[in-house]
Amino acid sequence: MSKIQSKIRRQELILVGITLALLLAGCMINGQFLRPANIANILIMASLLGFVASGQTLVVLSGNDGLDLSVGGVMSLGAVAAYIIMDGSNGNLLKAFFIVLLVGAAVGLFNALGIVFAKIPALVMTLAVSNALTSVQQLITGGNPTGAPSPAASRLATSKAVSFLPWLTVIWIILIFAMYLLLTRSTYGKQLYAVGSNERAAVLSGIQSRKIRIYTYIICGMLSAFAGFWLCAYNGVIYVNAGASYVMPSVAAVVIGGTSIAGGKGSYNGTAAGTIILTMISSLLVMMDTNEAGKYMMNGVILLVLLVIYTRHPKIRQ
Amino acid sequence: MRWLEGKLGYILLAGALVINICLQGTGFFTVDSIGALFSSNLPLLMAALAQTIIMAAGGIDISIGNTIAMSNGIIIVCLNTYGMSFLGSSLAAIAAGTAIGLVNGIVIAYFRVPPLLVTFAMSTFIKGLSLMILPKPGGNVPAEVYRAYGGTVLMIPTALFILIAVSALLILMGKFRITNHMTAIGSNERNAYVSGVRVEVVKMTAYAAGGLIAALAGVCLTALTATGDVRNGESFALQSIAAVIIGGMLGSGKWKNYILGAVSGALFLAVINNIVFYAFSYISINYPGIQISTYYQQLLSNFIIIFGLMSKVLVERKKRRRVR
Repeated sequence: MSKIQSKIRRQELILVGITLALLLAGCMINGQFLRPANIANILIMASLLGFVASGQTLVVLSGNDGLDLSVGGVMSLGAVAAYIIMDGSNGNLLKAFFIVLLVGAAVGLFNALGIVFAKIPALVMTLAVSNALTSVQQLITGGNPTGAPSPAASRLATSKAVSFLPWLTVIWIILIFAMYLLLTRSTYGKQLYAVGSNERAAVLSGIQSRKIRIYTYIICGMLSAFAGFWLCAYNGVIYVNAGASYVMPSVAAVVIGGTSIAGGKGSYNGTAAGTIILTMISSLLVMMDTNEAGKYMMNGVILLVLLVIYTRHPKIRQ
Repeated sequence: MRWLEGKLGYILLAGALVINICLQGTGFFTVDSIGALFSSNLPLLMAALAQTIIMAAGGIDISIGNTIAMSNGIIIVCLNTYGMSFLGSSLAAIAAGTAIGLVNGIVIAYFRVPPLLVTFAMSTFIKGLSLMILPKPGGNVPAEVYRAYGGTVLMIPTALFILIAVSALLILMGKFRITNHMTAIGSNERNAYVSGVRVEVVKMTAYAAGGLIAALAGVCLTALTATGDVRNGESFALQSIAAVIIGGMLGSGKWKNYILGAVSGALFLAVINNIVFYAFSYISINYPGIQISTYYQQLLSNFIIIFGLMSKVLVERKKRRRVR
């Protein structure tokens, strides 16, 4: 037990170390990096990614090669729905919020049906669904969404509580706390870890593993749609597939955060740290003025190196 | 429905073909129509062949789409900027694709990182690389190339000819020891290791071969589109995986079945696109008042793919629900 604990502690140390090194690198490249405005910027980006990555964490924890590549599609659909329903009026705020969550849950349920009952690999099912969601968005909007976020929502999403702490990040901190409670204190959380680490043992001890996995995809869909709502509120203007760029980072954040891709091991705190690291890296790349091609290549190489450090399987003969 | 097991890909394909022929009439059987079907879908068929080799060895590669795009970019740049011949630039692209597959294979086999994540990261890297090679869409290929590609060889459409040649070659590869080792690893990696298969080398070979064929798919894509656009190939990753799964041969453990399954799965996807196209044009010709947005076409074919994936359930042996 103490060995495992020390390993977890070591991983946390690595994460903190990487974050500090990145901060230092940022200061050396550009003195403006530590200005409150820039920190606030990074935190807003990290919060949006953090919302998406929270659902992804649950799905990866549930094991069975669980992975949700439709988070970007759900996020975009949520953003488009929020954009159209809010239509610039505060009166529609709550209505939009709940409809968006409902849409997310519906897509999550559809994913779960394919993955749990039809036994399609999660990767394939969610990729196919995310393609379908793109056409759904195009169909709803005719390719060009019209609408506007409600003023109250966009004020909340763009203003700051303190000079370096945006309100969006306050929401994220609440979410981190809620996820912590969900994963460590609730029955669902315990059962999720059990299903993820050894489904057979979980079933034998009376857990309905299918139910847990279905819930997980539904929650993931809702959280992605939630992210889409705030993306709409923060951006102000929404286009089709606005959330597509969040898919890959959400998976990366989960992996960097130390959650085992095989399921059953990890926490949302780690994912949150991974989110901040990824956002800092992309912010640094923007500061270094790299072009689009360079950005993709750097992202790929960094991710590859992190993967080699973090997710190595034991040797086959062990 | 036990007798259906393992033949799902063929049955789906046959059903789709019947519907297609009903919609299109006897025009389907002309050389032109079949040639068009194969030449426009050869890149997908090749991508599915690349994917099936990797999936036969128990892996998965989602960087295939970007490898195809990169191969397209390399050929265009070699042709237009460096003035190389089409053959020479194709060889350059194939070498690059094999190199990408080799890197994938080394990281996956020797560093033991999950293939999904590695190829995910690699696909981002390749996307950047291909954007660097060909930043803006454009360029052209010699007219002989796309004319030959769209034409016929010995009365057979060239694309069909290429497909038959490549799949026959791949099926013949089943005689070699390495393909047996691949399917052994795909069935059970641990058992294969214990029986003396050199797991690392075999896995690496599978990814390199996959990269090679993906680059070949890029050559076909270039001959088809006759221009370069590195954002062209990305969708092939999902489609190739879907094709292999719809083909329904995963886990069969027989090399030949993997190849035939991939081809039938990819053909199913191709015919579905045909059907959706003809169904919509049928409606718009016969009921001129109805306006249907093209987005419905995409949505419909997306949903047909999803239900094709789900259809596996129908023919699966009903197991008593119990703990495995």
